[in-house]
Amino acid sequence: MSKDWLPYEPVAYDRDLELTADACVIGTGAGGAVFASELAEGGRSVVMLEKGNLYTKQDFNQHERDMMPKLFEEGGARTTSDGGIVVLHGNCVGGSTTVNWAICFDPPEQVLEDWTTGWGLPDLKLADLRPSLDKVRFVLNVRRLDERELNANSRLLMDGARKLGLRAERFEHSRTACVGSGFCILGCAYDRKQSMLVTYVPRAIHHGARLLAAAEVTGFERSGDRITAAVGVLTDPTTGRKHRVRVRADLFAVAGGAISTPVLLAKNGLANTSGRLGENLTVHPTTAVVGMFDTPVRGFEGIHFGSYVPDFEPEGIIIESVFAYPGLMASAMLAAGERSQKLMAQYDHMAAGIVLLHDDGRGRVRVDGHGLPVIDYLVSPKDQAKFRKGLKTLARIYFAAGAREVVIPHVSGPVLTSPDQVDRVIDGLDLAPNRLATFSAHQMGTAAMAADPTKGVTDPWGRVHGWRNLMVVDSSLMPTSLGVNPQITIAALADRAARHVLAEPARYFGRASYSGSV
Amino acid sequence: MTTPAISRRQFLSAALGLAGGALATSLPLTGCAPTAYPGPGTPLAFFTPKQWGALDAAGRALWPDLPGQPGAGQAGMATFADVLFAKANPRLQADLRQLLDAIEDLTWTTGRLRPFTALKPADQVAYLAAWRDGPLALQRRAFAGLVRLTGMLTYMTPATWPAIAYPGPWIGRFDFGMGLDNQGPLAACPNPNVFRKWEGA
Repeated sequence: MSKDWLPYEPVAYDRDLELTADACVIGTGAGGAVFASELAEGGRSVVMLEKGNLYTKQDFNQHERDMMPKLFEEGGARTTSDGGIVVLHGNCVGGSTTVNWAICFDPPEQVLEDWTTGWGLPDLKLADLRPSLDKVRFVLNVRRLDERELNANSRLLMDGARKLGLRAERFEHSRTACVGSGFCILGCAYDRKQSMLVTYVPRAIHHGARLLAAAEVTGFERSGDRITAAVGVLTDPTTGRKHRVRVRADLFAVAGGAISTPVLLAKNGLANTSGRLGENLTVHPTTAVVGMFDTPVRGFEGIHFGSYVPDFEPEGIIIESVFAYPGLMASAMLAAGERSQKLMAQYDHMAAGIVLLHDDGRGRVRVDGHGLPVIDYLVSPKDQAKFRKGLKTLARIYFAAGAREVVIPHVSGPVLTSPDQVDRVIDGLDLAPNRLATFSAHQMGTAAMAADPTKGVTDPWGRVHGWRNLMVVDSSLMPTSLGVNPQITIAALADRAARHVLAEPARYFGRASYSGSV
Repeated sequence: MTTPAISRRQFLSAALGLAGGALATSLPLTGCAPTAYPGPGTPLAFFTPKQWGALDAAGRALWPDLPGQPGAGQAGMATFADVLFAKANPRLQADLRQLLDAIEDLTWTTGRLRPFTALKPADQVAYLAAWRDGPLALQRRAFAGLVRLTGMLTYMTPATWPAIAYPGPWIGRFDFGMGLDNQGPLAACPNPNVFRKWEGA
């Protein structure tokens, strides 16, 4: 029997571990995996510590009921503190890239300009980031979807948009020889979605890095302005027994994502001399619209996210085709009763899309008495206006594509039967928290880069102000909302940070090196 | 950076605050027969029998079993939730317990407190509808949370799929002769760039 190509060994811990390395990277999502891989490729010894478990294709059974609890933080039930926004992010090797839809966008040029001028971040224009973007796109095999790869749901969005005179584009995705099963967010069972789980983490291991999954960092040892060790808990997945892990290193990079990173740092009293740690949270607030068609759409088949409407991007609105498995779909309707049951009975006749906002509002992440994150975020009035515009546009797109009814996921359960109703009904919706189904799959900004240490948590390369060897390399770094699906930008920023570190070894690896002891 | 969890008193206040119009609201919701608590000896991993009963009844009110279309009851939603929440973090567990206790113990109708599970189905529906449109943010939050939770768990369950024409996972269904058995080893990495040196800038 041939051996699987993935370089992972079964996770098993039967004792405490003491490790030393040049670098310790905490988190294996789009930022951590790339940073670890680049350092390893550059000849540095690296230990990757991942809080979540290691699951691979054999574990991905395509059932929501089994995979959501395993792969998502809080099983996908995490919300903002007022319950108004469902906050989705991964909790496994590969982080959120294991549970995303593989959409790839370069960062918008204007957003990078704003970061450069508004936050004092030199060398961060699109041209500056291009070498990192190009490498990330190479490793992840990013390409535009072929016309033949669009499912009926994505085609309906494009058809309706074009009938209204809007542009409609196919997404770029990170996929290789995709089989079109449509189970991307439950973990790709075929290794075709190019998540960090099957790209940069194996690449890092290939270059000598060591991965410890189910390894939760709880604290740091320090000396002056240096971190000397990360300490935490290993959980054996079979026995549930816990063991201690301690990693000594020259450099520590936190990459838990914009919710977990500020929580870890705050619990350890780190990185908050600016008072900005956990602040400045942006979430790309997102809502949905469902079109009901006479003929079957079967949107659950094929690639769920295939197309988008870019026309309103300058206003901070992107409309994207998407579909959801039955549990997520029923949950997202936010209305119940016999009427919703009857709508669900037409699940195979639904087309669905989302309205994703480049948010103007800001929230924050705090820590509660359990040591868990508390996410405060209110959709701002300006963003509510964007929601209304996006909902109206998407409703009209579905009517133009031939929908007989359009469902808005609001607790009042509005079902539109004519485009004439669109303005009146949507203008009349109460958009207070817990009225309109709202979720976030992209969280950013809670340890933002800024040249001025009073304005941001890290310097322009991700090094935490006031600490010589502590970095952040994830979406927390983004000073503002990005406005597009962020995995490529996160990965490119991590690649850029790694290049910087490797180019200045005396600065980052100046002490007696621990090389080779991983 | 520390914030207290929602206090029990807040929940109780919210629940009692509903009392007035709970039965007056009409909604396009239909209830079906309530169930009793699980009998003695029924193993529960997380809920108390009372909490299980409240969740089961709320689920049946929100996602009723219809002819030919299973809802929360036939899907075994509450039992599934019991297994799931046994592994949840302590905050989620505490929040859900508070919510279900409030539903069961603090249902104020027709001038008195009555167990939610003892209400007629139509009254259970009306009671939850009053939470949906209640004056307090906490009531509306509780309603939205219940709808999301019960809807998701109901439709994650294969028993509900035939009625919505959802065929379920690919695995075990077919592989089109493409070697899509995910249980076996995949000898080669599908994406050769994963281990290839980047020759660019």
